[in-house]
Amino acid sequence: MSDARILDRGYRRYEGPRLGPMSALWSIAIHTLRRILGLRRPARAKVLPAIVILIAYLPAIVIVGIASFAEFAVDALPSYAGYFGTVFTSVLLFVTFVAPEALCPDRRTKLIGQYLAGPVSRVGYLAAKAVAVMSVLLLVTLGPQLLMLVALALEGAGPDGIDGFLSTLGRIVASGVAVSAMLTLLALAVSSFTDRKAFASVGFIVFMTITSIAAGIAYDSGEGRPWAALLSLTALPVELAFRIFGVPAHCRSFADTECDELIFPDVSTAAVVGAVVVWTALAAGVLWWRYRKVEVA
Amino acid sequence: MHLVETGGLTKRFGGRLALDSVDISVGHGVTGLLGANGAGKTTLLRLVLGLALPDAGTITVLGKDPHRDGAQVRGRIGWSAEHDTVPGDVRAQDLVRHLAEVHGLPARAALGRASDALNEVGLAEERFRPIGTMSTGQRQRVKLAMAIAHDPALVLLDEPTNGLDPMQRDDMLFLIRRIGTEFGLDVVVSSHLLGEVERICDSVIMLAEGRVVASGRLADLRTGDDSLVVEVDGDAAPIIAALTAAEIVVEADGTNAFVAPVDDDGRVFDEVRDAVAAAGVGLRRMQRRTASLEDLFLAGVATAAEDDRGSDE
Repeated sequence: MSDARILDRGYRRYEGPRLGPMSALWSIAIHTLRRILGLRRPARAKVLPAIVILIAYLPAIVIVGIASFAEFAVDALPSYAGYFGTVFTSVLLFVTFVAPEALCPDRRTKLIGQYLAGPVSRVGYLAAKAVAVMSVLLLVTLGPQLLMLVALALEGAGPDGIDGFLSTLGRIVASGVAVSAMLTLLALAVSSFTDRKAFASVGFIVFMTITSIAAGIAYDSGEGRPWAALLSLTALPVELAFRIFGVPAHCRSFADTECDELIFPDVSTAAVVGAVVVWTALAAGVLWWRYRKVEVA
Repeated sequence: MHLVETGGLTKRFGGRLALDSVDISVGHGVTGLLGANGAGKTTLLRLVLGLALPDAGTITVLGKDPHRDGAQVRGRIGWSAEHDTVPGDVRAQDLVRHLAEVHGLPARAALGRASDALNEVGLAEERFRPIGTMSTGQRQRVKLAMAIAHDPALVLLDEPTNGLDPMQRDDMLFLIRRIGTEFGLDVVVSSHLLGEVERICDSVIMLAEGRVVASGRLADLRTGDDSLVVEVDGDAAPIIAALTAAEIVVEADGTNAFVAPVDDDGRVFDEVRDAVAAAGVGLRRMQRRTASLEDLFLAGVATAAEDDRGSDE
C-alpha cells in the first residue's frame, strides 16, 4: 500500500514580511516583460519576439563574423551609428508589437482595475509598463552594438585604447537608451487609445509614417524650414544616434571619414536633442492623460 | 476597531447625489452591502479603496484614511470586481501569484500562497490551466483566489455571483461563507440579491438612492416587532376566541396560524399555552416574529421616500 496521502493544510494566515510599493511595480514590470517575450505562454506567443530579435542581431553577428574571417573588409563594415540605420526597421517593428502587448490586454481584460485596486498608483503602473517595454527594446537597440563592440575589440578591430573603448561604450549606451525611451513612450502613447493590440500596432505604424511624410513634405517645400525635419519620427532617432556618435549621417562605414553631411545638416545637435526630449515628454503626457481616469470598478 | 467607519459620507457626480450622508461601520464577519443598481454600492466601495474623494464626511478603513494612505490600505484589501478581470492566456497560478506579489508578498511566499489559495477555492487540479479555458464559475473562483492569496485584512467582493448558474451560485456562496468563517477573513459582499445576502452574511448595510436605509447585525435587524407567531395543527378559532376573551388582540387571517403581541410580563405565553391545551390541538410553531430582509428593505425605502416628501414640503 502506498504511503501517499492527501494533505489538506487549510487556509493559513500570512505572518511574513510585506514588501513596499516598489516591489509591486517590479512585479508588474517582470510580469509584462515575460508577457512581451511570450514566456510562460503558448509557443505561438514566442515566435514574433524571437524572429525580431534574431533580425536585429543578425547584422551584428555577420559583422563580427566578417571581422573574424576577413580582416581586410573591416573598414567597409557599418559603423556603430550606421548600425542604427541598418536595424532601425526591425527596432520599429519590435516596438510596434511590444508596446500594444504591454498595455492593451490589461485594459481589454480589465486586469488594470485589479492593479489599481491594489497598492499601485496610475503613474507607478505606467512607469512599470514603460520600464518593461524599454528593457525589451534595449535588447535590440543596445544588445547588438554591445556584442559588436566587445567582439570587435577581442578581434583587435575595436576602438583604440581603453579610452576609445569606454567612449564608444558610453555612446552606444546613451544612444540606445535615448532612442528606446523615445520609441517606448511614443508607442505606449498610441497604444493608450485602444484596447485592441492590432489597432494599436497599425495606429503606431500609421502615426510614424504620417508624421514622417508630413515632415518630408514640409522640409522639401522650401528654404527656412529646417525645423520641419524634427517632425520625422522615423529619421529623428537615427539622426540622434549619429549626433551622439559624431558621425555624419550618410557615412555608413568606417571608411567614409570625409563625410560631412547629416540627414538634417541644417539643424543643430541641440535642436535634435531638444526635439527628442519634447517628443518623449509629449508622449508621456498623452499617456498620463489617457490613463488619469481609467475606471477600477 | 471597526474595519470601515464613515461619518456623513457624501459623494456627488455632477448634480446627482450618489451617497448622501452615509454613516456606517463595518465590523468583523461577513457583511452584505445591499441595494438595487445605482443605489451607491460601487461608489461606496470605490471610496473604501481610496479611489475617489468624498465631497463631504469622513471615512476610515483599517484605521487609516484610504485616500491619504491609499497604497497601505489597498495593500491589505483583497478585491474582486464585478466583471471579469482575468486574462485568458495566463495560467491561473501565475496570475494569482503575480497579484500576491503586487500586494507585497515576496516571490517565494506568493508562489506558495497562490497554490494554497487555488486549492482552497477548489482549483487545485486546474491551477496550471490557462484561465481562458475555464468555465465562468472557475474564473470567478480564480478571482476569489486573487482576492485572498495575500491574506488581506478585508476582502471586498463586488457582485461575486454575477453570471453564475444556480449550482455555481450555491457553490460560490458556500465558499464566501467559508472565507468569512473557516478562514477567519472579514468580507464585504456587494449584491442586489436579498436572498444571497440573507444566506451568508452576519451583518448587512442596505442602501437605497445613496442613503442607508438599514444597517446592523442580521439577527438584530430581523428581530422585528414584539409579536409571537403561533401555528397549530387544527382549527385555531377556539384559541383565538380564548385569547380575545383574555383581552389579547390577535391578528388572524383565517388559517391555522395567528400573531399575538408579547407584553412586558410575558402573560401571552401562558394564555396561548392554556388556550392551545384547552382546544386540544397540537402546537406546531410558537416563535418571535422575524422580519425578512425584503420586509426590512421595503420598509427602509418607504421611510426614505417619506423623509424625502417631508423635506420637500
